[in-house]
Amino acid sequence: MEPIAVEAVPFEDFIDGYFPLGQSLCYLLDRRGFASAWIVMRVAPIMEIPGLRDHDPVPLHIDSKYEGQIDWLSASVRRSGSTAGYSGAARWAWNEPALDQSNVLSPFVRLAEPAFIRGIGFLPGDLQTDALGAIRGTSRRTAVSILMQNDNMQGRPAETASIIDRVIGLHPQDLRRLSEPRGEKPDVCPESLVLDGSDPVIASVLADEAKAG
Amino acid sequence: MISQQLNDTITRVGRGTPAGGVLRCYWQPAALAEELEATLPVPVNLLGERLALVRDEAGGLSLATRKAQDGEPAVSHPPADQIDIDADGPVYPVVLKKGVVFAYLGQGAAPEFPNFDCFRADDAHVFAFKGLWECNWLQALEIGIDPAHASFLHRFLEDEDPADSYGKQFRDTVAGTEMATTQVLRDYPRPEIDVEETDYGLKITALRHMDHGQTHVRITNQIFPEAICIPMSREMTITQWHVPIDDENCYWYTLFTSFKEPVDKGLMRAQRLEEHELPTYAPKKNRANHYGYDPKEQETATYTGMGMDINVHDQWAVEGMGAIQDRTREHLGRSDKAIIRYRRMLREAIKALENDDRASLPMQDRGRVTKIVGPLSNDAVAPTDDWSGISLKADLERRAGCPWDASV
Repeated sequence: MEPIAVEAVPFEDFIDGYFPLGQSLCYLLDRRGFASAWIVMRVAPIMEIPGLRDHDPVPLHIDSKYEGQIDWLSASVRRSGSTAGYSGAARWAWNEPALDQSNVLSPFVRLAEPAFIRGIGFLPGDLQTDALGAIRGTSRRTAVSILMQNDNMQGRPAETASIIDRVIGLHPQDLRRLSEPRGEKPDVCPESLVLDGSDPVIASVLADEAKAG
Repeated sequence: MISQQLNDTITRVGRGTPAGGVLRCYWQPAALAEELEATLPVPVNLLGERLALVRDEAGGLSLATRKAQDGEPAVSHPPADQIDIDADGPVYPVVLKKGVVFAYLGQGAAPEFPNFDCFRADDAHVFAFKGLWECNWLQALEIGIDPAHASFLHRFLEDEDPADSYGKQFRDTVAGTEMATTQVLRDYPRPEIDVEETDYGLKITALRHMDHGQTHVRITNQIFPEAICIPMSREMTITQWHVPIDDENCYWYTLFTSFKEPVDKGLMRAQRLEEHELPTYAPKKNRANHYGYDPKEQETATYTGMGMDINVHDQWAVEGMGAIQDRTREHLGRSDKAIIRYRRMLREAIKALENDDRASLPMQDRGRVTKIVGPLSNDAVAPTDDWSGISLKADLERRAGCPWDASV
């Protein structure tokens, strides 16, 4: 199976703090006209305040027991109603050890500050994907392609200095702690992005993504 | 908003603290060269440490540890005969550059200095001064990387004669126009802000889209970890560090760099000594006298009512946040882009040091640091569809006409 070229827009942007993360990511997609995106975020403070519902006003004050920090996050993001679903891998820690037990980042998490992110946005179209929704394929040569689900790993391009293969959609509904060793591919292969790392903006996204630690 | 715990991580600077560790990786302004005219040792209060400039037997200058009295004020300045050097305390190397004594309080080899304009200019074209702000260094730095505040905090309701603008921020006309910078800031208060990472920190571009297809472009810079480089006039730039005395006090150290005529150092010093007391360089306008606030002036002349020196406006704004800004109640907005990017850099630097990866901090690569020049910092008005090209052209033209080598 060959990678399919897609219409994609490498970008840098800020996402709002204080709202549920899915909402902030949804605003990003709307603002840029994306159907979905793959994003990378580093060293972003987060908070989760018990009892604070999605539609409650922004908190006025934070206590350290509700705070943590995402050290690194790499996730695919797609619209889900009035919010955005996101899935991928991340490294995070909460100040309160009791919050730090789960391997899955809480869906109620909010950024405690606006966060700077880098990523690749995908325009709406007819190409159906699992991780990124319906995006726009193209017949022209582009810096971004998607390799659709491929159970037997065939067709995966060899990763070189300029062709970077990033697996996405590993965890359909959530962000998991980064546990897979870097570069290791799972047996059952979800979709992957195949990226031309010689594109300077994509290179900066990948440089951020490489700092998983 | 961030918790007190996380706020402490990015604000506190004593030995062994995360932010203090980052700052100690860099040369820090410790004193003005003019302070060496006094009898040595000269007291220095830096990064929470009680120090003093001393000469060794060979006549070289270094920064030794001094013993401090219990309850000694943060900005104490004991006379030489009352300074008691702690022979067991650390001794730090110092370097004299362009009127400032820089000290290195870190581990291992000190980094090289970058070749910024303020360091490359000949001595006649650079003037150094400092002043005390009674607040934490980080809030002092962050006001310098917020391009939006100038339209309000430094709003002048009338524009002064540019002929009277020497040594004063924002009083000149914008390059290529007869428009006062103060008018631009007043009439176009909502800049579009762009931030890009560089090898020295951040380049911050503020675009004020004007009428008739014109855009005012103001390029400023954050130099990691705690300095800025901003335009002062068509001829001069300001390179300014916000150097911690301790967690609740800092000095701004400024190198004023001229790209045309030699600096009138006598006039510049006299202007600033009207506003500061020696030997502590404490400002005469301060919290105790309400920063000279005059409601009549506020009605007719300035946004703050605190006089015509924009440094006082900034001082009021940052000291008004408290000794250390309470960021547990802070809500950053869309115009805080540079602050958001800067805090990301600072947190990454803290993490890097935790992982023993000092080499990844900005300007720590000895082989590359000396090649860092500039940075570009100017005000210009340009056609909206070519603001970047015109801004760069204006900067290069200024450099081409400069009597010292300002080539980039």
